[in-house]
Amino acid sequence: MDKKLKLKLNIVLVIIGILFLSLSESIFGSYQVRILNLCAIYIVLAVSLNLINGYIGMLSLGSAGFMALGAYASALLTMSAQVKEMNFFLTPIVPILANVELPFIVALLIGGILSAFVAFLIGFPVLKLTDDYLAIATLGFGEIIRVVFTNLQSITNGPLGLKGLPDYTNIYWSWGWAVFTVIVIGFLIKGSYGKSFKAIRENEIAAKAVGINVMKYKLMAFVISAFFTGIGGGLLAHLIGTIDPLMFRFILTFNIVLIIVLGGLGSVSGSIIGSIIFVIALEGLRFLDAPMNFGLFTIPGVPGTRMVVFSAILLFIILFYRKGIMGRQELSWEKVCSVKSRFKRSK
Amino acid sequence: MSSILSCRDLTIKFGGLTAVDTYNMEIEQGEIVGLIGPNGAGKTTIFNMITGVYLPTNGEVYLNGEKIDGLKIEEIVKKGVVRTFQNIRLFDDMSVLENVFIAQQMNISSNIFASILRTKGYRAEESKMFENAMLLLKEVGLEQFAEYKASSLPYGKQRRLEIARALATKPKVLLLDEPAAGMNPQESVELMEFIHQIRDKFGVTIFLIEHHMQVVMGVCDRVYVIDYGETIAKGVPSEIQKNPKVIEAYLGVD
Amino acid sequence: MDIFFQHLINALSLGSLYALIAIGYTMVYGIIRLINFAHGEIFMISAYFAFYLFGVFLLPWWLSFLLAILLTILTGIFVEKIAYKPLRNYPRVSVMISAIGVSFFLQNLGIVVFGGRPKAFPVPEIFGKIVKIASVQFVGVSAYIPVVTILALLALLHIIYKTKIGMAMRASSLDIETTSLMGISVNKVVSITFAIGSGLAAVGGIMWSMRYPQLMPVMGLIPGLKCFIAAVVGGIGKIKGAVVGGLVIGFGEIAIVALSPSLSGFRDAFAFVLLIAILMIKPTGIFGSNAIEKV
Repeated sequence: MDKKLKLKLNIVLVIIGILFLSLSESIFGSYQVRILNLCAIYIVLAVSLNLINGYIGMLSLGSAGFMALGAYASALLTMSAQVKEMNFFLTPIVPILANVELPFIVALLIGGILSAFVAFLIGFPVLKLTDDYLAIATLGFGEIIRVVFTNLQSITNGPLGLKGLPDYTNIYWSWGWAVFTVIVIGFLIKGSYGKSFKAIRENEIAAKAVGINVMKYKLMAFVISAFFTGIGGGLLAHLIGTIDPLMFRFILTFNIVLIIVLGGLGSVSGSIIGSIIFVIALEGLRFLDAPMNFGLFTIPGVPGTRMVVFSAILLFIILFYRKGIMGRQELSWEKVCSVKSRFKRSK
Repeated sequence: MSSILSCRDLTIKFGGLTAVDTYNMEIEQGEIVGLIGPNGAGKTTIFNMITGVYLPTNGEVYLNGEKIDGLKIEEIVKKGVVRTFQNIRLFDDMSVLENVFIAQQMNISSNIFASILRTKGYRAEESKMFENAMLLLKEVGLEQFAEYKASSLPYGKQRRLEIARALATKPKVLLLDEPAAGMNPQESVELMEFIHQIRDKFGVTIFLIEHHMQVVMGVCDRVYVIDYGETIAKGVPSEIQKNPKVIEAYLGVD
Repeated sequence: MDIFFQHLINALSLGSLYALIAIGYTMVYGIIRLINFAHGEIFMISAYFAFYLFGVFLLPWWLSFLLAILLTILTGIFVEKIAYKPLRNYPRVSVMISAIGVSFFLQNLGIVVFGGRPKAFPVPEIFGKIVKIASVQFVGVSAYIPVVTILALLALLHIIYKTKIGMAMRASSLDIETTSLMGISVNKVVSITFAIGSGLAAVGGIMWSMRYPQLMPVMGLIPGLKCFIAAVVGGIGKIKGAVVGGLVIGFGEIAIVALSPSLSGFRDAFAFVLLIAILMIKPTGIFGSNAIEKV
């Protein structure tokens, strides 16, 4: 398929996308808009986690920790002094943070950078470890962050969490970041750095044997991923409006792992598709937890059913469709058109 | 010391076992030197010490007079010593062309931002790298397989690809670990010619481990023989063939 | 001084419980190189089995506990056959994700079936009564825990070192491929390993429920993680490592609570900090040996 046609198709897609998003707030109710925002945020989270877990091949389970860093950092920087005072009624907030109030973009970026910085710090010792240990170490890191945040009353307000965050996240912020994340990581993967990541995944020793500085690349991927994960955390915080340490338990990471496994480890478009399916399913399956009214009788809802179904789905995918929806491949116009022609042929 | 690669009393112990004991070796620029010995003698271990996979317990390795033992694998590759593996280690899921392309990554000067933004400078570098990779594939006769997945090539061609990939790092010394493994007599003869060609075309010094005696005798200028970690003979192939200790090591004593 | 003995007994029982569960992790990892994330849920299920058998069906306690252990063992073997065995030849990432999936599945199934609210475990009289020696006071079960643990360990060591299947297990943990080439059924070895690991987790789970009688479907999550860390700290794959690791974490946690009550919120972080420390100092663990990868 020639480049000009592809470019035209892409431009059309982008225009449709922008139109859709700008009209969404007027056409849809707030519930649907929230779902759209969540889709975008999970795209940011999934695509960035896929960079390490799928593309370079290291199983990192620390997303929740990086999200917490991004969320708390950005929240503390966007909350006004009064809101902070209301929150920190048990123990006053540390003086430095008491009066800081920054614009959303700055706060978000600081959250992302903090997250990236922490990733850089723990990267050296942790990335030397082999798969299993790396997984546990990153999981442990996530838990340590959570426990620390639960106990640092004067900075994070401890178990009470932070309420009343300004609801800055709107359709433009979330999808803007989603697009940005996909572009950055997409181009990163397309270039020679991406090929190095792939080489490391395929055969780490051979990668070293052709001069690739494996540690440097692993660290690079880890830090970039943490940055975007932190941004995702910040976006989520300003969508929901409240955060507390319990939000950032392992289950949060688990959900993102589920998405990238569903979409295909190593495929950016797979992560996008996976995120959208996940968020819709999350909302769509909510009925499982709630009482179901069948007119004559009501089945009382059993909370937790939704997660049972989700974990069953994850198990099903990993046991029978290991490669996920896209496997390691990316969606492209060629593929879309071939589906169309296959459809035509079978008619 | 005019040698390009030398080992001085190279020793490695694993727990109580001395796998390699005071290995000494000098290789001159442009030579093709062989390392032979029965299975388990310690040949790959010596390779591993030279290339930085293992840290020697004692002794040193020098490249052009510069001490390279103790450096990381990728640093040693940058200095100009590269190796292939006994059980071929290709990037299976990547194409033949990409395998050779990626071996030039260590010399790329564009940084990560240039790569993401796909600046003109970066794109120029990238296409140069692909060009070089294609040229190398032509040299080794694999250019028609450029877009194939590396794992789909037949065994003999996979070996060539691994060697081409190693050559893409512009090495001074090329270490080949059993390049003729699994080849039939005709393939081995082709390999011999191939090794001569790359020494002549690329000016690399070659150090190889082999079990195929005809390859060793046909291609090597000199040979080192080790058994149970100890050097039992060294010299030109014709001398080695007649050396009683070598015969004993391979065939046993009556 | 009495406080000291109080803490000592607490530390010893907590450490022993951690040790029992850690052994399950280490044995499974030693043979099939899998971090069985779901092991904590096996522990949780044993507690609920015992709860229903003893507290709801009102069987005598010794029968309930025995049956609970048996049912848990069967559950462990079942999980292995369904979720791990099919992935045995696939990259480790896949099995690990499967284990995480099983863990969440069981936790949430527990929430659905048992209800998310805590249940009070009916502690049998002999274990629940408060014992007083000199002026030191403790719950009866605290004394039984170390004793039972030691007995379980002795039984385990007997199996590992004095039986044929034990030898098969030891061989498998060194080199599973070659062991299978020697005609030993890998499936059987793996099943038995899971059986033993689950059995010990069940013993630990039941005693845990008597010591900390609040049952929740998520009760296995944090202890499970800590016990895995215990196994890593001691040297993954080494049984004595798991025991030492469990005791270290048990004692460490009680020490934090004892010495600095204000920091007791950080008690749960102790294990994770210890993990990071050991991974940086000696990743193979206290008793671990360095495996050289063949290049």
